[in-house]
Amino acid sequence: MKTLLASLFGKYRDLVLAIGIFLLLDAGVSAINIYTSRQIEADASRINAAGLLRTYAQQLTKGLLTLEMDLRNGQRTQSSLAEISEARLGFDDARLALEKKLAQPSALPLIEPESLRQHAQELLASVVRTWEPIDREVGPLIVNADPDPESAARAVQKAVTRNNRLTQQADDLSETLTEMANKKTSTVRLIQAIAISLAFLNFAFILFKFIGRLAASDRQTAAAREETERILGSVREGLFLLTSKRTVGGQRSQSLDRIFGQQLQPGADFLAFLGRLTSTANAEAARDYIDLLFNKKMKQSLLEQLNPLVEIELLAEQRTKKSPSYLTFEFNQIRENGQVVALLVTVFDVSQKVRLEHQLAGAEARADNEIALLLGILDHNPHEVADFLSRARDTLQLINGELQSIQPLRQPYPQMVNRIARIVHGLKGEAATLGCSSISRAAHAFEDILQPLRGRNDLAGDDLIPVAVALSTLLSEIVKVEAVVKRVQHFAGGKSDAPPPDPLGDSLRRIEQYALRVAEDLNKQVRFEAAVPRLDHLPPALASVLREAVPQLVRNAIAHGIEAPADRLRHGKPATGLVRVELTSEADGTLTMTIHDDGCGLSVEQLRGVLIERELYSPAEVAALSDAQVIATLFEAGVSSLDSAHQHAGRGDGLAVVKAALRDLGGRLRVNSRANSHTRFIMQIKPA
Amino acid sequence: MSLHNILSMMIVDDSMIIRNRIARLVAGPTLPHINIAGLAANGEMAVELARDSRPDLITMDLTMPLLDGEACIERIIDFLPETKILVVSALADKATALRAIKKGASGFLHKPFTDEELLDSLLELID
Repeated sequence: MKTLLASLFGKYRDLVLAIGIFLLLDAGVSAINIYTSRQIEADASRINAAGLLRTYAQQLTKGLLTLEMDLRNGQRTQSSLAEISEARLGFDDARLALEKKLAQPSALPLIEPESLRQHAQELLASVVRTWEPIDREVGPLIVNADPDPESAARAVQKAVTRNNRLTQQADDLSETLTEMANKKTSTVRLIQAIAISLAFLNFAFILFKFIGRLAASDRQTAAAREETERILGSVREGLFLLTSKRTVGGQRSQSLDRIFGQQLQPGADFLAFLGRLTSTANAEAARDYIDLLFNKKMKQSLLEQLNPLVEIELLAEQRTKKSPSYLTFEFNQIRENGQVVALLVTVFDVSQKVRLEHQLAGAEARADNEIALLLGILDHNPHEVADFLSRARDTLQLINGELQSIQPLRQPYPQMVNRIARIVHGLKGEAATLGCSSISRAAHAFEDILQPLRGRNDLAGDDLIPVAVALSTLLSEIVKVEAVVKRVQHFAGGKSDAPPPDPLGDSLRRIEQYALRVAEDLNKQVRFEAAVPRLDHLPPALASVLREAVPQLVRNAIAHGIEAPADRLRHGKPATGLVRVELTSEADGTLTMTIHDDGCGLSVEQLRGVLIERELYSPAEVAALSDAQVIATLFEAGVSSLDSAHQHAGRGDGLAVVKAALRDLGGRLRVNSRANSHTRFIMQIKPA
Repeated sequence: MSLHNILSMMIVDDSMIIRNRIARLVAGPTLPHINIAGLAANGEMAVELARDSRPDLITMDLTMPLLDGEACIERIIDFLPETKILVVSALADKATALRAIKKGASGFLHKPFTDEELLDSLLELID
């Protein structure tokens, strides 16, 4: 209150002062008015008294003449004596009153000049001097009830001789007093006029000043409003005030509608709006948070880290193509007298930032993948990897050439697709064995594209376009890995050129690693055993089998043979399955490679079912097949006993690859299995 | 806070490592003298201990067996309204932290925390 008053006086000091002066002037004029009316009254009584002096003097003279006449005629003198006495007393009263009034010095010498008063006093004194001799004659006369005519005649003579002078003097006095009163009135009028003019001037000043101030203040307000509007119109962030009733304030930045992709009306319920904009969980957290913000006891540092509206995702149905998808809200408390009265809410569109962060995270994941790729390759002999890569590249480039120079004949398409599928499947296995996971992933993706084309006899040239695209993707992946491997070889300085001392052991260790990885991917437990003789060098045929056929068969053993740990326990087997690779060589150089697993074995009945289900054979054809023939279908392309394809199994190409590899080497493949006991693939390779 | 100058504190966390770490830091020279009134590994234990020892300060984990932190805060604040509770939690979502504060906790600290962060949070709580 005190400060309010102080500020009021501070801001409006001159106005308050001017109004004070105005009131003072008004009061002054009123005071002068009152004073003047009193003075006029006093003046009138003075003029009146002067008039009475004249009247009583004449009455006395008349009384004396009557008395003389009465005495001469011997008539009674009482009434004339009484008249004389009354006139004498009246004169004395008027004289005394006038003397008293004129004796007081003027209260306001400016209004009643001292000289005039003294002049009036002098005039009165001369009246009295003229009167006194008469009075002296009259005094003894009226004491006697029976005055003597002589005294009366003396008195009459005195009165008559002095009457004219006395009248003249009383008139002079009266005129002087009238003149005094007139002068005083005109002076007062002048003062009044000046005071009123001053008051008018003052009033005009107030008016001018006040209107000027008002206009200036209006201009300022308008300028401030314009500035505010400009700021709110051009600021990129959304700005608005949130009241303690959780409603939106009247002033808001224009960018708000763009940021929200919808209108946020002044006075709207903000929490309800938020509920439409984002998830219920976000909206609820926001409500709790805003409650805390309006709680004056909460600490700022705590509030800052609790804001839940940071990079919140907007509901998909609220989004238009151009509107943001992620927003961040910032809340600033507005405090008045220690209370939080409102929140300044700033809304940022952080879609771009979030998108970049996601991209960065993706890039980091890819970089991690590439490091994993490098580490995977480093686990193996770069020489071997390079050999695989160059073969794979050559093979794929060959296919690429075929695809480009294809003739518009329908017949070769299905065969070609099947051939590509076999090659890609083989590459996938080899790549996985050699730790080239990116290539095996690309090959798997390639197989996904080939799968729907297989078994179709109505393939046209256009159907092969996606195949060509996938092929080039796989090729570029191979080229990329090749570049890495070349760098590694270069780094090793050619030291790895020396052949490994135990090539067969190395190959089997690689196959073991592969087996364990496949098992891990399929959530199975596997123990890998190898029983092989030590060989100084690998015969080319054996190297080929180890590279292509064995990984396929080991993978099949784990994917199809070995059961999940729980299933194995149910069948009374140890949870960990066994995959065993044996190699024997006979005197004539014949090599026998056996891949054994202690899994579920081949089920002829299940295979029959699969053949019918996949519509590879008609039910009648299946019924006509012997068990051995049913098992033989395993080696045909496109047959797999698994329901769906994953990276390690299920496409039905693995055994076809093995069979093709062995056929090229002039070898034989046999299978031997018992349900719930084992499956054993036996490969025989005769020396060349 | 309590009438005497020495504050008592209870540590609630299902991880022994965290409990010991907080206890060790509290015993350090940075903070005013604080008595460890008790260590609790779950919410129910915490409520029992709080009833007996009436601590001035509590550090509270949110995800615990038997009685979770949120419910635990609610129960303790019910009979110890003056006790300051610092939530120490790995939960990333702020909604949980906000609910804990709403139920009466006075501060929040994210796991994992540095020694300095914990000391700062405790000092702020005592302040």
